[in-house]
Amino acid sequence: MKCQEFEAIVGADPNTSDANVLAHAEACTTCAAYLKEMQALDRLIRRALEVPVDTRRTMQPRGAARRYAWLGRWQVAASLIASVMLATSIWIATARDSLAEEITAHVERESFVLARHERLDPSVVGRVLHSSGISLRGTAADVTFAATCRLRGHEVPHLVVQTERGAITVLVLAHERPVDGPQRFEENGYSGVIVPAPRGVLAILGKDAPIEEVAERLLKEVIWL
Amino acid sequence: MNSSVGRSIALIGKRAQNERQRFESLCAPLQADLFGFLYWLCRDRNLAEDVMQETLLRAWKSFDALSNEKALRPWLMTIARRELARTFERKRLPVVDLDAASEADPTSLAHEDDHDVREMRRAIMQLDAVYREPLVLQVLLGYSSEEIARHLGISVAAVLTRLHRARQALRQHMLGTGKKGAQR
Repeated sequence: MKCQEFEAIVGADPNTSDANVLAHAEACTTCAAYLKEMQALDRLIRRALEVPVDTRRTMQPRGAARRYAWLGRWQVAASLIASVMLATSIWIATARDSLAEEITAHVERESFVLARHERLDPSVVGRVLHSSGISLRGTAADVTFAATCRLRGHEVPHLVVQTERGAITVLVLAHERPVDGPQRFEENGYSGVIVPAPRGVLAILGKDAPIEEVAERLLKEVIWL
Repeated sequence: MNSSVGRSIALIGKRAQNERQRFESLCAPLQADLFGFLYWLCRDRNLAEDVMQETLLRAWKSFDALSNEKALRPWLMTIARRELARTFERKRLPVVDLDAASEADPTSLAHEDDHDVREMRRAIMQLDAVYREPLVLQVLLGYSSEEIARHLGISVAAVLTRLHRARQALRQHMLGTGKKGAQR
């Protein structure tokens, strides 16, 4: 692959998992730097694009919508849509499906971090976790990536743990509704499990990797501050 | 006979209620994505809220046509896009003042209000819609290039070009060199 082709691919998708692109980045320091820069730019774009939605306003007829208030159908639809937020308890199962999908989509978007094998300094991992009120009992063994990501409107610690059977992603979702027990999911080639935690849930996923093992180990090591 | 009619009505009522619950449960998790998509397309919070309402209403009306629930997200986004276009046609809306749009409702966008984020928002606002839309679909909604191509009705190659140009424009903006290739 030539540097120009690399730039075009990375410019269109800095988080590509294309093996040729990643191999080129390993071999070319200039392109590796460009890749990092574009990934950082993308994180900033992502932060800039996130717009909080006020569901009370979007779900209620107002402004322009009031002009159509004479439409009985509209009123029915508006009222049913308005009840969406009140009826959240009804769709726990669907929301959980959606959580699995969103987790997987996030991991796929940031799949470039799965290729990292250099173990992080425990203090880096500690800083990321501490900002979310968590610390690890032992050393941050085999953690090769740690960052705070925005997911479903909240800042969540995102860790990657390398195992002999592949990379495993851990997301600490302290704001999610707790689950009664481990909930397994399969999504786009990833196997994952959402497990209850003292605050919210932990999501652990990977491809052909020992997720249960890591989940068990992690739950023993995590201290909720 | 009356009791038979009563039972039929009750059955229809029950079915409608189930359908309504299904619609609610499917749409609720997509609200943030839908709103974000509309906001970045029109760059106006109030308009995005109005169009979101219209979109959900239209989606509810034609909910029967949705055969595959997994297709709900792209289906809603397509409806939203068309609804926004209709709104623009119908209202002949004035051109958005970019500075005003950036500053009009600072609290609505201030959840991470550092300088770089603000500057990036300004840069995204200035991107031409041709480049902004695929970028929003990819970065905010996690669409693949193929999905964006289907959504926009263009080739994958065109999508990749637009995404590349969008990022180059944003990069130039952030670096302060002021190259305006993809900006309006």
